[in-house]
Amino acid sequence: MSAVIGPSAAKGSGNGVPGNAVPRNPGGGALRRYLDAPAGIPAAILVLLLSVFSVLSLPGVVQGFYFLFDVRGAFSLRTAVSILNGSVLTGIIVLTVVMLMINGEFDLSVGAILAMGGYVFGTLSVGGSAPFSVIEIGAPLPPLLALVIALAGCAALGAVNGVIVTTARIPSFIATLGTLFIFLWLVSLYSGNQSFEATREEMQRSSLYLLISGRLRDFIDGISGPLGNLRVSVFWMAALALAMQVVLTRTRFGNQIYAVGGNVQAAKAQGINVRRIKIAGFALTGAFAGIAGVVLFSQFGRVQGNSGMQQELFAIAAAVVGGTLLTGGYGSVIGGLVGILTISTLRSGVVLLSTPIQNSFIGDIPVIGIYLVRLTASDNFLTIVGLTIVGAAVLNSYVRRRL
Amino acid sequence: MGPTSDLTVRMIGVAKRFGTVTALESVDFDVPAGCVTALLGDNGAGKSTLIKILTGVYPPSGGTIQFEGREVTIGSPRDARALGIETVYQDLALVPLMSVARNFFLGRELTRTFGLLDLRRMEERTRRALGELGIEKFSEAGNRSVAEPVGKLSGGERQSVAIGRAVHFGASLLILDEPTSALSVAETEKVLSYTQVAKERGLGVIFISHNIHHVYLVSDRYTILRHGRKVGDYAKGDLTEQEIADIITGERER
Repeated sequence: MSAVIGPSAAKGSGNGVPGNAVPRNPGGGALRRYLDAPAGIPAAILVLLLSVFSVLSLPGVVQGFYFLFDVRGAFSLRTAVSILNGSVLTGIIVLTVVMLMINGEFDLSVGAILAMGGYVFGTLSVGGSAPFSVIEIGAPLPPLLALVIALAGCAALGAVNGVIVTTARIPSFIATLGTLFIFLWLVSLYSGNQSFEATREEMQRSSLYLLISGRLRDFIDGISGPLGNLRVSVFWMAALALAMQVVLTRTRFGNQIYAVGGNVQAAKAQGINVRRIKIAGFALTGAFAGIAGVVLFSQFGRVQGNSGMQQELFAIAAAVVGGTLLTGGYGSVIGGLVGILTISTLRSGVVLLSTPIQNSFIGDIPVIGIYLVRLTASDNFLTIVGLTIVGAAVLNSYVRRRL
Repeated sequence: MGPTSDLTVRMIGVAKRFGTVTALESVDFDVPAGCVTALLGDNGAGKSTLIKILTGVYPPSGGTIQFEGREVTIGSPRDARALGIETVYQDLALVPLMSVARNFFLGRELTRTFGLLDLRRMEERTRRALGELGIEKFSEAGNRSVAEPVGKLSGGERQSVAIGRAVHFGASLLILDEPTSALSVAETEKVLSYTQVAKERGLGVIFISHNIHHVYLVSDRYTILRHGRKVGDYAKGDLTEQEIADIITGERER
């Protein structure tokens, strides 16, 4: 067996392999059991990153954490809130991208589906005043109905991916690379190549937008400071993650997703309808990309053709950083979330670090951090993400092989 | 037990052509219930083609198949499974990254309220079912857990799970395709003993192996193919090990 797995920690959340393993020598090797949980290594990487950024951004040597902890040593809510808020869109998408990767498939078209979801939800719920080239939107629909239509449409696009992949039996990597551009063309047909923007008044006509992506201070009186800035979409993301975790590890559908990705021959031999499972997986991925589009529109009151650009890459990156196997059969939703939080942390860390550059001196001597700071100038964000992906993949496979 | 007992499978005049290549030419093949029938032949003799027809992977180009006395069309692996045909391959029958219990109930998952998996009951029943077949490793006292991923098991342990699953869920035909080719001597003996359990429970068992010694140990009947045709059917005791080998290679006719 390629030693991708050992017995996992306690049953319950975070297990990449459903329902596995009571360790053979209980009590022995807590560290090993921790590292065996699929989200274990990724979580360790995240903590390491947070510490590195905290240390790097010390103005002196030990004056206190600047990054997650401010100079007085208090946890910096501001940074944490901005990391969480910045994770939501990809965070929602990664939940189903992880599921697809467990199932042995990729979906590169999620960015286009996201844009489509945003347009359909936006135009239908607000009512069209923009000149659409193909579709005339009249009076606004009830926002909840618009939401349902948008998600159904996105699920249908996802199902198209599934049908192509299972009927033509071509790798989903290629099939969805193709549909990415095809769906973008559909988006441009729908939108007439224009962005769609709602006015402030239009966005205030329904409370649904606020319910989807408002800030805590819109709901709770007297909550001030950074915590008030937290978007409620973070809670939606968490709820969806919980739901996906249950679906993957505790339902028949999830069980068969793992089985098809882990050994398609064995799954077939046990009478599992592989085609149906795969199409359902792609449809669910489309629906989740649609949810991300709805959240995007609710948050910004605006959507454009490239709104979902590169989401597919960040979602796959997050899944890999989160310990999901590219070869299928193994991975966890929690790991995917940790992955996207890691990438968001990098983004925030890189931006924050670019500022206090002049503080990184002790007297006239630059601390070693300054060289790293140069490396981490904010335009190098993608470089850093790239390094993290490679590093995480190497570390994941190295540790798994040793256990 | 012998050719007189009930037949699980009777294939009559089965042929398979791939384009201009004839893989099987009018082969008759009987599998009696409660009996281990060895299917023998060198590489390319047509063994796997015959099995793939029986398991719904290939449609036959000609001939008929009777299953438990009825004529049937096996159009897909799902059809085969619905009839009660279970195949245990060397490595293909289980999902290595999933637990023993999840593999045991794959495609037949037990659920409770809200469609949630009833893992406890699945694990309990897996443990009991394997115990009833004399597979003790997974019992409370054993050193293996049904919650462990299959990938951590040895080859023989995997085969025992796959065979146990087929027997437990009431298969009527068990096809063992090279079940011992990667096993240690001790494990091979165990796996061979499970074929006897299956046989005693009244299943028809087809045993395919290159290891003539294993075939000789467990089989009650032999059907030997060569170049897509049947050379003959033999009962245990008709032939010595050496004679079987000679017929397979064509050193000896009948």
